[in-house]
Amino acid sequence: MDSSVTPLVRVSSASVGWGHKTILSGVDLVLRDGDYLALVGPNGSGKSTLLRAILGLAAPLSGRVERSPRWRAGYVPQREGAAQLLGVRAAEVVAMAVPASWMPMSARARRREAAQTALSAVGMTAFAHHVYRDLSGGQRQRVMLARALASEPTVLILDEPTNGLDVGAQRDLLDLVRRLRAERGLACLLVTHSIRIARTEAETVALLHEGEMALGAPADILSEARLAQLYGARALGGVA
Amino acid sequence: MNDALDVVGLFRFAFAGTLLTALACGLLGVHVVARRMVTAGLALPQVAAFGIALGLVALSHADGHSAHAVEAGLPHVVALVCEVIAVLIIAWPRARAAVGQAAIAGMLFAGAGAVTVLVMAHSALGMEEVHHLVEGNVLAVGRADVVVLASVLIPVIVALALGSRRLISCTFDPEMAATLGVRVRLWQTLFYACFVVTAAVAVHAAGTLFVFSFLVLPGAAGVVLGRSGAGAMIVSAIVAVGGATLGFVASASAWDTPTGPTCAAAVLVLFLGCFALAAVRQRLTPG
Ligand SMILES: Nc1ncnc2c1ncn2[C@@H]1O[C@H](COP(=O)(O)OP(=O)(O)OP(=O)(O)O)[C@@H](O)[C@H]1O
Ligand SMILES: [Mg+2]
Repeated sequence: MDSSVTPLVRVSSASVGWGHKTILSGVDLVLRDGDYLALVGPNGSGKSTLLRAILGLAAPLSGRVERSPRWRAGYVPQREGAAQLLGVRAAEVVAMAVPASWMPMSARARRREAAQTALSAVGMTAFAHHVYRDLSGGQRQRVMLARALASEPTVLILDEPTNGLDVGAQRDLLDLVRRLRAERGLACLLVTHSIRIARTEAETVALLHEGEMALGAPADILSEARLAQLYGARALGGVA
Repeated sequence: MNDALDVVGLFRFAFAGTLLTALACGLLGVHVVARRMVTAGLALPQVAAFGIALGLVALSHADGHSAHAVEAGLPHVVALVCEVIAVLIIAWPRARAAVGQAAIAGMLFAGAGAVTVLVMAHSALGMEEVHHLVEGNVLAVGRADVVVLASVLIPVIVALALGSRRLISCTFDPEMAATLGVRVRLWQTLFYACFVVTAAVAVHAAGTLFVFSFLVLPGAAGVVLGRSGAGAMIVSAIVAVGGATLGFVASASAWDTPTGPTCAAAVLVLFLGCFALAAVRQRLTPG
Protein backbone atom coordinates (compact mmCIF):
# COMPACT_ATOMS: atom_id res chain seq x y z
CA MET A 1 0.00 0.00 0.00
CA ASP A 2 0.93 3.67 -0.39
CA SER A 3 3.45 4.36 2.32
CA SER A 4 2.86 8.14 2.23
CA VAL A 5 -0.54 7.61 3.82
CA THR A 6 -0.31 7.47 7.62
CA PRO A 7 -0.75 3.94 8.88
CA LEU A 8 -3.98 2.95 10.60
CA VAL A 9 -2.04 2.12 13.72
CA ARG A 10 1.59 2.33 14.71
CA VAL A 11 2.88 0.55 17.79
CA SER A 12 6.36 1.71 18.78
CA SER A 13 8.59 -0.09 21.28
CA ALA A 14 5.57 -0.87 23.40
CA SER A 15 5.31 -3.25 26.29
CA VAL A 16 1.96 -4.59 27.36
CA GLY A 17 0.74 -6.53 30.35
CA TRP A 18 -1.57 -6.61 33.32
CA GLY A 19 -1.07 -4.49 36.40
CA HIS A 20 2.68 -4.19 36.73
CA LYS A 21 3.36 -7.53 35.08
CA THR A 22 4.87 -7.21 31.62
CA ILE A 23 3.71 -9.90 29.20
CA LEU A 24 5.33 -8.63 25.99
CA SER A 25 7.97 -6.01 25.40
CA GLY A 26 9.67 -4.28 22.51
CA VAL A 27 6.66 -4.54 20.23
CA ASP A 28 6.95 -2.63 16.95
CA LEU A 29 4.10 -2.98 14.55
CA VAL A 30 2.51 -1.00 11.74
CA LEU A 31 -0.83 -1.74 10.17
CA ARG A 32 -1.86 -0.02 6.93
CA ASP A 33 -5.00 -0.11 4.85
CA GLY A 34 -5.43 -3.51 3.26
CA ASP A 35 -2.80 -5.23 5.41
CA TYR A 36 -3.50 -8.75 6.58
CA LEU A 37 -1.59 -9.66 9.72
CA ALA A 38 -1.94 -12.94 11.56
CA LEU A 39 -1.00 -13.07 15.22
CA VAL A 40 0.07 -16.51 16.41
CA GLY A 41 1.62 -17.91 19.54
CA PRO A 42 1.02 -20.42 22.31
CA ASN A 43 -1.72 -19.98 24.93
CA GLY A 44 -0.87 -17.17 27.30
CA SER A 45 1.75 -15.63 25.02
CA GLY A 46 -0.09 -12.29 25.08
CA LYS A 47 -2.06 -12.19 21.84
CA SER A 48 -5.27 -10.91 23.39
CA THR A 49 -3.35 -8.57 25.67
CA LEU A 50 -1.64 -7.00 22.67
CA LEU A 51 -4.98 -6.62 20.89
CA ARG A 52 -6.39 -4.78 23.89
CA ALA A 53 -3.55 -2.28 23.72
CA ILE A 54 -3.96 -1.85 19.97
CA LEU A 55 -7.70 -1.28 20.44
CA GLY A 56 -7.11 1.26 23.20
CA LEU A 57 -8.91 -0.84 25.82
CA ALA A 58 -5.77 -0.72 27.94
CA ALA A 59 -2.83 1.65 27.73
CA PRO A 60 0.57 0.08 26.97
CA LEU A 61 2.85 -0.15 30.03
CA SER A 62 5.45 1.75 28.05
CA GLY A 63 5.99 2.84 24.47
CA ARG A 64 3.29 4.20 22.19
CA VAL A 65 0.21 3.14 20.26
CA GLU A 66 -0.88 5.76 17.71
CA ARG A 67 -4.12 5.33 15.86
CA SER A 68 -4.93 7.37 12.77
CA PRO A 69 -8.18 9.34 12.56
CA ARG A 70 -9.29 6.77 10.00
CA TRP A 71 -9.01 4.01 12.58
CA ARG A 72 -12.38 2.35 13.08
CA ALA A 73 -12.09 -1.12 14.49
CA GLY A 74 -14.58 -3.90 14.05
CA TYR A 75 -13.67 -6.12 16.98
CA VAL A 76 -14.65 -9.72 17.60
CA PRO A 77 -13.47 -10.60 21.11
CA GLN A 78 -12.14 -14.03 21.94
CA ARG A 79 -14.77 -14.82 24.51
CA GLU A 80 -17.84 -12.98 25.56
CA GLY A 81 -18.14 -12.16 29.22
CA ALA A 82 -20.77 -13.55 31.54
CA ALA A 83 -24.01 -14.60 29.90
CA GLN A 84 -26.23 -11.66 29.06
CA LEU A 85 -29.35 -11.02 31.10
CA LEU A 86 -30.78 -8.36 28.83
CA GLY A 87 -33.00 -10.11 26.28
CA VAL A 88 -31.90 -8.10 23.27
CA ARG A 89 -32.57 -9.32 19.73
CA ALA A 90 -29.66 -10.18 17.46
CA ALA A 91 -30.52 -7.29 15.13
CA GLU A 92 -30.28 -4.82 17.99
CA VAL A 93 -26.94 -6.21 19.15
CA VAL A 94 -25.62 -5.56 15.67
CA ALA A 95 -27.32 -2.16 15.43
CA MET A 96 -25.50 -1.01 18.57
CA ALA A 97 -22.34 -0.89 16.48
CA VAL A 98 -23.71 1.28 13.68
CA PRO A 99 -22.03 4.68 14.02
CA ALA A 100 -24.26 7.33 15.55
CA SER A 101 -25.66 10.12 13.46
CA TRP A 102 -27.24 13.41 14.42
CA MET A 103 -30.53 12.82 12.64
CA PRO A 104 -32.40 10.50 14.99
CA MET A 105 -35.22 9.50 12.63
CA SER A 106 -33.20 8.64 9.56
CA ALA A 107 -30.59 7.13 11.87
CA ARG A 108 -33.11 4.59 13.12
CA ALA A 109 -33.91 3.32 9.66
CA ARG A 110 -30.27 3.41 8.67
CA ARG A 111 -29.26 1.42 11.74
CA ARG A 112 -31.85 -1.22 11.00
CA GLU A 113 -30.76 -1.48 7.40
CA ALA A 114 -27.06 -1.67 8.26
CA ALA A 115 -27.80 -4.38 10.82
CA GLN A 116 -29.72 -6.41 8.26
CA THR A 117 -26.93 -6.10 5.73
CA ALA A 118 -24.32 -7.22 8.25
CA LEU A 119 -26.46 -10.13 9.45
CA SER A 120 -26.98 -11.32 5.90
CA ALA A 121 -23.22 -11.15 5.28
CA VAL A 122 -22.74 -13.76 8.01
CA GLY A 123 -25.78 -15.84 7.01
CA MET A 124 -27.83 -14.90 10.07
CA THR A 125 -30.76 -13.09 8.45
CA ALA A 126 -33.18 -15.72 9.67
CA PHE A 127 -32.11 -15.08 13.25
CA ALA A 128 -32.37 -11.28 13.25
CA HIS A 129 -35.35 -11.34 15.60
CA HIS A 130 -34.12 -14.08 17.87
CA VAL A 131 -32.99 -13.13 21.34
CA TYR A 132 -29.20 -12.99 21.31
CA ARG A 133 -28.62 -14.77 24.63
CA ASP A 134 -30.73 -17.73 23.44
CA LEU A 135 -28.58 -18.41 20.35
CA SER A 136 -25.99 -21.16 20.15
CA GLY A 137 -22.32 -20.35 20.74
CA GLY A 138 -21.44 -20.41 17.06
CA GLN A 139 -24.49 -18.34 16.15
CA ARG A 140 -23.53 -15.77 18.76
CA GLN A 141 -20.02 -15.70 17.31
CA ARG A 142 -21.52 -14.94 13.89
CA VAL A 143 -23.61 -12.13 15.39
CA MET A 144 -20.41 -10.73 16.93
CA LEU A 145 -18.86 -10.81 13.50
CA ALA A 146 -21.90 -9.04 12.03
CA ARG A 147 -21.57 -6.42 14.74
CA ALA A 148 -17.93 -5.89 13.81
CA LEU A 149 -18.95 -5.43 10.16
CA ALA A 150 -21.78 -3.04 11.05
CA SER A 151 -19.37 -0.62 12.68
CA GLU A 152 -18.20 0.39 9.18
CA PRO A 153 -14.66 -0.57 10.12
CA THR A 154 -11.43 0.31 8.42
CA VAL A 155 -9.80 -2.58 10.24
CA LEU A 156 -11.11 -5.90 11.49
CA ILE A 157 -9.63 -7.15 14.74
CA LEU A 158 -10.55 -10.79 15.10
CA ASP A 159 -9.49 -12.76 18.17
CA GLU A 160 -9.82 -16.43 17.23
CA PRO A 161 -13.00 -15.71 15.29
CA THR A 162 -13.31 -19.24 13.96
CA ASN A 163 -13.65 -20.54 17.49
CA GLY A 164 -16.90 -22.46 17.74
CA LEU A 165 -17.77 -22.03 14.07
CA ASP A 166 -18.66 -25.04 11.95
CA VAL A 167 -16.49 -25.82 8.92
CA GLY A 168 -18.79 -24.00 6.50
CA ALA A 169 -18.96 -20.90 8.66
CA GLN A 170 -15.16 -20.90 9.06
CA ARG A 171 -14.70 -20.97 5.31
CA ASP A 172 -17.38 -18.28 4.83
CA LEU A 173 -15.65 -16.09 7.40
CA LEU A 174 -12.28 -16.34 5.69
CA ASP A 175 -13.89 -15.71 2.30
CA LEU A 176 -15.72 -12.69 3.67
CA VAL A 177 -12.53 -11.16 5.07
CA ARG A 178 -10.78 -11.74 1.76
CA ARG A 179 -13.64 -10.11 -0.14
CA LEU A 180 -13.85 -7.08 2.19
CA ARG A 181 -10.13 -6.57 1.76
CA ALA A 182 -10.43 -6.68 -2.00
CA GLU A 183 -13.54 -4.49 -2.19
CA ARG A 184 -13.00 -1.94 0.55
CA GLY A 185 -9.30 -2.18 1.32
CA LEU A 186 -10.08 -3.28 4.85
CA ALA A 187 -7.12 -4.16 7.02
CA CYS A 188 -7.32 -7.31 9.10
CA LEU A 189 -5.58 -8.39 12.27
CA LEU A 190 -6.37 -12.00 12.94
CA VAL A 191 -5.45 -14.04 15.99
CA THR A 192 -5.46 -17.70 15.16
CA HIS A 193 -4.16 -21.01 16.44
CA SER A 194 -4.35 -22.47 12.97
CA ILE A 195 -0.93 -22.44 11.35
CA ARG A 196 -2.63 -23.36 8.11
CA ILE A 197 -4.90 -20.30 8.16
CA ALA A 198 -1.99 -18.02 9.11
CA ARG A 199 0.03 -19.41 6.20
CA THR A 200 -2.64 -19.27 3.54
CA GLU A 201 -4.56 -16.11 4.45
CA ALA A 202 -2.15 -13.60 5.92
CA GLU A 203 0.58 -11.66 4.16
CA THR A 204 2.45 -11.01 7.41
CA VAL A 205 2.72 -13.09 10.56
CA ALA A 206 3.58 -11.94 14.06
CA LEU A 207 4.71 -14.73 16.31
CA LEU A 208 4.59 -14.14 20.05
CA HIS A 209 6.83 -16.24 22.21
CA GLU A 210 8.46 -15.76 25.60
CA GLY A 211 7.67 -12.08 25.87
CA GLU A 212 8.85 -11.13 22.41
CA MET A 213 7.42 -10.70 18.97
CA ALA A 214 8.89 -11.86 15.68
CA LEU A 215 7.41 -10.30 12.56
CA GLY A 216 7.79 -11.35 8.94
CA ALA A 217 6.50 -13.28 5.96
CA PRO A 218 4.54 -16.44 6.83
CA ALA A 219 7.09 -18.76 5.24
CA ASP A 220 9.94 -17.30 7.32
CA ILE A 221 8.15 -16.94 10.62
CA LEU A 222 6.29 -20.23 10.45
CA SER A 223 9.23 -22.35 9.41
CA GLU A 224 9.09 -26.03 10.36
CA ALA A 225 12.10 -25.68 12.62
CA ARG A 226 10.59 -22.81 14.57
CA LEU A 227 7.22 -24.47 14.96
CA ALA A 228 8.84 -27.67 16.15
CA GLN A 229 10.76 -25.70 18.74
CA LEU A 230 7.61 -23.85 19.79
CA TYR A 231 4.95 -26.50 19.91
CA GLY A 232 7.02 -29.68 20.00
CA ALA A 233 7.79 -31.76 16.93
CA ARG A 234 5.06 -34.31 17.50
CA ALA A 235 2.17 -31.85 17.66
CA LEU A 236 3.01 -30.41 14.29
CA GLY A 237 1.68 -33.09 12.00
CA GLY A 238 -1.87 -32.35 13.15
CA VAL A 239 -2.00 -28.58 12.93
CA ALA A 240 0.35 -27.66 10.16
CA MET B 1 -62.33 5.75 42.08
CA ASN B 2 -63.38 9.12 43.48
CA ASP B 3 -61.74 8.12 46.71
CA ALA B 4 -58.52 7.50 44.87
CA LEU B 5 -58.66 10.89 43.17
CA ASP B 6 -59.38 12.56 46.48
CA VAL B 7 -56.39 10.92 48.06
CA VAL B 8 -54.15 11.91 45.21
CA GLY B 9 -55.48 15.46 45.37
CA LEU B 10 -55.03 15.67 49.11
CA PHE B 11 -51.50 14.31 49.05
CA ARG B 12 -50.51 15.66 45.66
CA PHE B 13 -46.98 16.58 46.71
CA ALA B 14 -46.43 13.21 48.31
CA PHE B 15 -47.84 11.50 45.23
CA ALA B 16 -45.64 13.48 42.86
CA GLY B 17 -42.61 12.68 45.00
CA THR B 18 -43.47 8.98 45.01
CA LEU B 19 -43.87 8.87 41.23
CA LEU B 20 -40.61 10.70 40.60
CA THR B 21 -38.74 8.41 42.97
CA ALA B 22 -40.29 5.31 41.45
CA LEU B 23 -39.53 6.37 37.89
CA ALA B 24 -35.90 7.29 38.59
CA CYS B 25 -35.31 4.01 40.45
CA GLY B 26 -37.10 2.06 37.72
CA LEU B 27 -34.95 3.48 34.91
CA LEU B 28 -31.78 2.88 36.90
CA GLY B 29 -33.02 -0.59 37.78
CA VAL B 30 -32.72 -1.99 34.25
CA HIS B 31 -28.99 -1.33 34.38
CA VAL B 32 -28.69 -2.50 37.98
CA VAL B 33 -30.30 -5.85 37.15
CA ALA B 34 -28.67 -6.34 33.73
CA ARG B 35 -25.23 -5.62 35.20
CA ARG B 36 -25.83 -8.11 38.01
CA MET B 37 -25.50 -5.32 40.53
CA VAL B 38 -28.56 -6.18 42.59
CA THR B 39 -26.51 -6.45 45.78
CA ALA B 40 -25.18 -2.97 45.08
CA GLY B 41 -28.82 -1.96 44.65
CA LEU B 42 -29.37 -3.14 48.22
CA ALA B 43 -26.15 -1.73 49.62
CA LEU B 44 -26.35 1.84 48.31
CA PRO B 45 -29.77 2.66 49.79
CA GLN B 46 -28.62 1.12 53.07
CA VAL B 47 -25.49 3.28 52.99
CA ALA B 48 -27.67 6.29 52.18
CA ALA B 49 -29.79 5.49 55.23
CA PHE B 50 -26.66 5.29 57.31
CA GLY B 51 -25.56 8.71 56.03
CA ILE B 52 -28.97 10.20 56.73
CA ALA B 53 -28.89 8.75 60.24
CA LEU B 54 -25.48 10.31 60.84
CA GLY B 55 -26.78 13.63 59.53
CA LEU B 56 -29.84 13.48 61.78
CA VAL B 57 -27.74 12.65 64.82
CA ALA B 58 -25.43 15.55 64.04
CA LEU B 59 -28.46 17.84 63.75
CA SER B 60 -29.90 16.64 67.05
CA HIS B 61 -26.67 17.71 68.72
CA ALA B 62 -26.60 21.07 66.95
CA ASP B 63 -29.78 22.27 68.68
CA GLY B 64 -31.03 25.76 68.03
CA HIS B 65 -30.64 26.18 64.31
CA SER B 66 -31.46 22.61 63.49
CA ALA B 67 -34.55 23.52 61.48
CA HIS B 68 -32.46 25.60 59.11
CA ALA B 69 -29.87 22.92 58.94
CA VAL B 70 -32.53 20.40 57.89
CA GLU B 71 -33.55 22.66 55.07
CA ALA B 72 -29.90 23.04 54.16
CA GLY B 73 -30.02 19.30 53.66
CA LEU B 74 -27.27 18.11 55.96
CA PRO B 75 -28.59 14.50 55.95
CA HIS B 76 -28.58 14.51 52.15
CA VAL B 77 -25.04 15.76 52.03
CA VAL B 78 -23.77 13.19 54.54
CA ALA B 79 -25.65 10.46 52.67
CA LEU B 80 -24.07 11.55 49.40
CA VAL B 81 -20.57 11.50 50.87
CA CYS B 82 -21.09 8.03 52.36
CA GLU B 83 -22.45 6.74 49.07
CA VAL B 84 -19.62 8.10 47.00
CA ILE B 85 -17.20 6.28 49.29
CA ALA B 86 -19.32 3.12 49.00
CA VAL B 87 -19.38 3.31 45.20
CA LEU B 88 -15.63 3.74 45.07
CA ILE B 89 -15.24 0.63 47.22
CA ILE B 90 -17.74 -1.33 45.11
CA ALA B 91 -15.98 -0.32 41.89
CA TRP B 92 -12.46 -0.86 43.26
CA PRO B 93 -10.94 -3.39 40.84
CA ARG B 94 -8.65 -5.05 43.36
CA ALA B 95 -11.42 -5.75 45.85
CA ARG B 96 -13.66 -6.92 43.04
CA ALA B 97 -11.01 -9.30 41.76
CA ALA B 98 -10.49 -10.71 45.24
CA VAL B 99 -14.03 -11.63 46.29
CA GLY B 100 -16.37 -10.24 43.64
CA GLN B 101 -18.56 -7.19 43.58
CA ALA B 102 -21.51 -8.92 45.22
CA ALA B 103 -19.52 -9.82 48.34
CA ILE B 104 -18.21 -6.26 48.70
CA ALA B 105 -21.72 -4.85 48.32
CA GLY B 106 -23.03 -7.43 50.78
CA MET B 107 -20.43 -6.35 53.31
CA LEU B 108 -21.46 -2.70 52.90
CA PHE B 109 -25.11 -3.66 53.24
CA ALA B 110 -24.56 -5.53 56.48
CA GLY B 111 -22.13 -2.97 57.88
CA ALA B 112 -24.23 0.09 57.07
CA GLY B 113 -27.38 -1.57 58.40
CA ALA B 114 -25.78 -2.61 61.66
CA VAL B 115 -24.01 0.68 62.32
CA THR B 116 -27.17 2.68 61.55
CA VAL B 117 -29.08 0.85 64.25
CA LEU B 118 -26.20 1.17 66.72
CA VAL B 119 -25.82 4.90 66.08
CA MET B 120 -29.54 5.54 66.36
CA ALA B 121 -29.98 3.40 69.47
CA HIS B 122 -27.47 5.62 71.25
CA SER B 123 -28.85 8.92 70.01
CA ALA B 124 -31.66 11.03 71.36
CA LEU B 125 -33.66 10.23 68.24
CA GLY B 126 -34.06 6.57 69.04
CA MET B 127 -35.41 3.61 67.14
CA GLU B 128 -38.49 5.42 65.87
CA GLU B 129 -36.24 7.23 63.42
CA VAL B 130 -34.75 3.93 62.24
CA HIS B 131 -38.25 2.81 61.40
CA HIS B 132 -38.74 5.94 59.37
CA LEU B 133 -35.57 5.27 57.45
CA VAL B 134 -36.76 1.79 56.51
CA GLU B 135 -40.44 2.44 55.98
CA GLY B 136 -40.12 6.02 54.83
CA ASN B 137 -42.76 8.60 55.45
CA VAL B 138 -43.82 9.55 51.99
CA LEU B 139 -47.10 11.11 53.05
CA ALA B 140 -45.14 13.75 54.96
CA VAL B 141 -43.51 14.91 51.74
CA GLY B 142 -44.54 18.53 51.21
CA ARG B 143 -43.97 21.20 48.63
CA ALA B 144 -40.39 21.94 49.70
CA ASP B 145 -39.46 18.26 49.66
CA VAL B 146 -40.93 17.81 46.20
CA VAL B 147 -38.83 20.70 44.96
CA VAL B 148 -35.69 18.98 46.27
CA LEU B 149 -36.76 15.62 44.82
CA ALA B 150 -37.66 17.13 41.46
CA SER B 151 -34.49 19.14 41.17
CA VAL B 152 -32.44 15.98 41.66
CA LEU B 153 -34.59 13.30 40.06
CA ILE B 154 -35.85 15.08 36.94
CA PRO B 155 -32.28 15.59 35.66
CA VAL B 156 -31.57 11.94 36.51
CA ILE B 157 -34.66 10.77 34.61
CA VAL B 158 -33.84 12.98 31.62
CA ALA B 159 -30.22 11.81 31.55
CA LEU B 160 -31.19 8.13 31.76
CA ALA B 161 -33.81 8.54 29.04
CA LEU B 162 -31.75 10.62 26.62
CA GLY B 163 -28.58 8.61 27.19
CA SER B 164 -30.35 5.27 27.13
CA ARG B 165 -28.81 4.06 23.87
CA ARG B 166 -25.25 4.72 25.02
CA LEU B 167 -25.91 3.47 28.54
CA ILE B 168 -27.46 0.27 27.26
CA SER B 169 -24.51 -0.40 25.00
CA CYS B 170 -22.20 0.15 28.03
CA THR B 171 -24.35 -2.18 30.11
CA PHE B 172 -24.50 -4.79 27.37
CA ASP B 173 -20.81 -4.86 26.54
CA PRO B 174 -18.58 -2.05 27.84
CA GLU B 175 -15.48 -3.26 25.98
CA MET B 176 -17.24 -3.32 22.68
CA ALA B 177 -18.73 0.09 23.37
CA ALA B 178 -15.22 1.42 24.03
CA THR B 179 -13.90 0.06 20.73
CA LEU B 180 -16.81 1.77 18.97
CA GLY B 181 -15.77 5.13 20.34
CA VAL B 182 -18.33 5.39 23.15
CA ARG B 183 -16.76 7.26 26.05
CA VAL B 184 -17.37 4.43 28.48
CA ARG B 185 -15.64 6.08 31.46
CA LEU B 186 -17.88 9.10 31.12
CA TRP B 187 -21.07 7.08 30.80
CA GLN B 188 -20.17 4.78 33.68
CA THR B 189 -19.48 7.82 35.84
CA LEU B 190 -22.82 9.29 34.80
CA PHE B 191 -24.56 6.03 35.70
CA TYR B 192 -22.96 5.84 39.14
CA ALA B 193 -23.63 9.53 39.75
CA CYS B 194 -27.33 9.01 38.95
CA PHE B 195 -27.37 5.95 41.19
CA VAL B 196 -25.78 7.79 44.11
CA VAL B 197 -27.89 10.96 44.05
CA THR B 198 -31.10 9.02 43.47
CA ALA B 199 -30.46 6.73 46.41
CA ALA B 200 -29.62 9.66 48.68
CA VAL B 201 -32.76 11.71 48.08
CA ALA B 202 -35.05 8.73 47.50
CA VAL B 203 -34.19 7.00 50.78
CA HIS B 204 -34.77 10.21 52.68
CA ALA B 205 -38.22 10.61 51.14
CA ALA B 206 -39.43 7.05 50.73
CA GLY B 207 -37.30 4.78 52.94
CA THR B 208 -34.91 1.98 52.13
CA LEU B 209 -37.56 -0.67 51.54
CA PHE B 210 -39.22 1.40 48.81
CA VAL B 211 -35.89 2.21 47.16
CA PHE B 212 -34.63 -1.42 47.22
CA SER B 213 -37.86 -2.65 45.71
CA PHE B 214 -38.00 -0.04 42.99
CA LEU B 215 -34.32 -0.40 42.12
CA VAL B 216 -34.69 -4.14 41.60
CA LEU B 217 -38.22 -5.25 40.70
CA PRO B 218 -39.22 -2.95 37.80
CA GLY B 219 -35.78 -3.45 36.26
CA ALA B 220 -36.13 -7.21 36.63
CA ALA B 221 -39.56 -7.00 34.97
CA GLY B 222 -37.98 -5.04 32.12
CA VAL B 223 -35.24 -7.60 31.73
CA VAL B 224 -37.59 -10.60 31.63
CA LEU B 225 -40.17 -8.98 29.39
CA GLY B 226 -38.22 -6.54 27.20
CA ARG B 227 -37.00 -7.68 23.79
CA SER B 228 -34.75 -4.68 23.30
CA GLY B 229 -32.88 -2.21 25.43
CA ALA B 230 -35.56 0.43 24.94
CA GLY B 231 -38.27 -2.18 25.53
CA ALA B 232 -36.76 -3.11 28.87
CA MET B 233 -36.59 0.56 29.89
CA ILE B 234 -40.23 1.14 28.93
CA VAL B 235 -41.50 -1.97 30.76
CA SER B 236 -39.50 -0.97 33.81
CA ALA B 237 -40.85 2.58 33.76
CA ILE B 238 -44.45 1.35 33.44
CA VAL B 239 -44.07 -1.18 36.25
CA ALA B 240 -42.41 1.40 38.50
CA VAL B 241 -45.01 4.11 37.95
CA GLY B 242 -47.86 1.57 38.04
CA GLY B 243 -46.62 -0.03 41.27
CA ALA B 244 -46.12 3.34 42.92
CA THR B 245 -49.59 4.54 41.94
CA LEU B 246 -51.34 1.37 43.08
CA GLY B 247 -49.40 1.22 46.33
CA PHE B 248 -49.87 4.90 47.09
CA VAL B 249 -53.60 4.91 46.52
CA ALA B 250 -54.11 1.63 48.37
CA SER B 251 -52.09 2.75 51.36
CA ALA B 252 -53.60 6.19 51.65
CA SER B 253 -57.23 5.36 50.99
CA ALA B 254 -58.40 1.79 51.20
CA TRP B 255 -55.98 0.05 53.49
CA ASP B 256 -54.44 2.75 55.60
CA THR B 257 -51.06 0.99 55.62
CA PRO B 258 -47.55 2.52 55.56
CA THR B 259 -46.91 3.84 52.06
CA GLY B 260 -43.38 2.55 51.43
CA PRO B 261 -44.09 -1.12 52.20
CA THR B 262 -47.44 -0.99 50.37
CA CYS B 263 -45.77 0.36 47.24
CA ALA B 264 -43.09 -2.33 47.58
CA ALA B 265 -45.79 -5.01 47.78
CA ALA B 266 -47.61 -3.54 44.77
CA VAL B 267 -44.50 -3.48 42.63
CA LEU B 268 -43.73 -7.05 43.65
CA VAL B 269 -47.18 -8.12 42.43
CA LEU B 270 -46.62 -6.33 39.11
CA PHE B 271 -43.21 -7.96 38.75
CA LEU B 272 -44.72 -11.41 39.32
CA GLY B 273 -47.35 -10.57 36.69
CA CYS B 274 -44.62 -9.70 34.18
CA PHE B 275 -42.76 -12.86 35.03
CA ALA B 276 -45.90 -14.93 34.39
CA LEU B 277 -46.48 -13.05 31.14
CA ALA B 278 -42.94 -13.83 29.99
CA ALA B 279 -43.48 -17.51 30.79
CA VAL B 280 -46.73 -17.57 28.81
CA ARG B 281 -45.04 -15.83 25.88
CA GLN B 282 -42.24 -18.39 25.97
CA ARG B 283 -44.81 -21.19 25.62
CA LEU B 284 -46.65 -19.51 22.80
CA THR B 285 -43.51 -18.74 20.80
CA PRO B 286 -43.18 -21.32 18.04
CA GLY B 287 -39.90 -23.21 17.85
N1 LIG C 1 -7.63 -10.35 33.18
C1 LIG C 1 -6.34 -10.65 33.41
N2 LIG C 1 -5.75 -10.27 34.55
C2 LIG C 1 -4.46 -10.55 34.79
N3 LIG C 1 -3.66 -11.23 33.95
C3 LIG C 1 -4.19 -11.64 32.78
C4 LIG C 1 -5.55 -11.38 32.46
N4 LIG C 1 -5.79 -11.91 31.23
C5 LIG C 1 -4.64 -12.48 30.84
N5 LIG C 1 -3.68 -12.32 31.76
C6 LIG C 1 -2.31 -12.83 31.67
O1 LIG C 1 -1.69 -12.31 30.51
C7 LIG C 1 -0.97 -13.32 29.83
C8 LIG C 1 -1.35 -13.30 28.38
O2 LIG C 1 -2.72 -13.56 28.26
P1 LIG C 1 -3.47 -13.44 26.88
O3 LIG C 1 -4.91 -13.60 27.15
O4 LIG C 1 -3.03 -12.22 26.18
O5 LIG C 1 -2.89 -14.72 26.11
P2 LIG C 1 -3.27 -15.24 24.67
O6 LIG C 1 -2.02 -15.28 23.88
O7 LIG C 1 -4.41 -14.49 24.11
O8 LIG C 1 -3.69 -16.74 25.02
P3 LIG C 1 -4.85 -17.68 24.40
O9 LIG C 1 -4.26 -18.35 23.22
O10 LIG C 1 -5.12 -18.64 25.48
O11 LIG C 1 -6.01 -16.81 24.08
C9 LIG C 1 -1.27 -14.63 30.52
O12 LIG C 1 -0.11 -15.05 31.18
C10 LIG C 1 -2.34 -14.33 31.52
O13 LIG C 1 -2.02 -14.95 32.74
MG1 LIG D 1 -6.35 -14.88 23.71
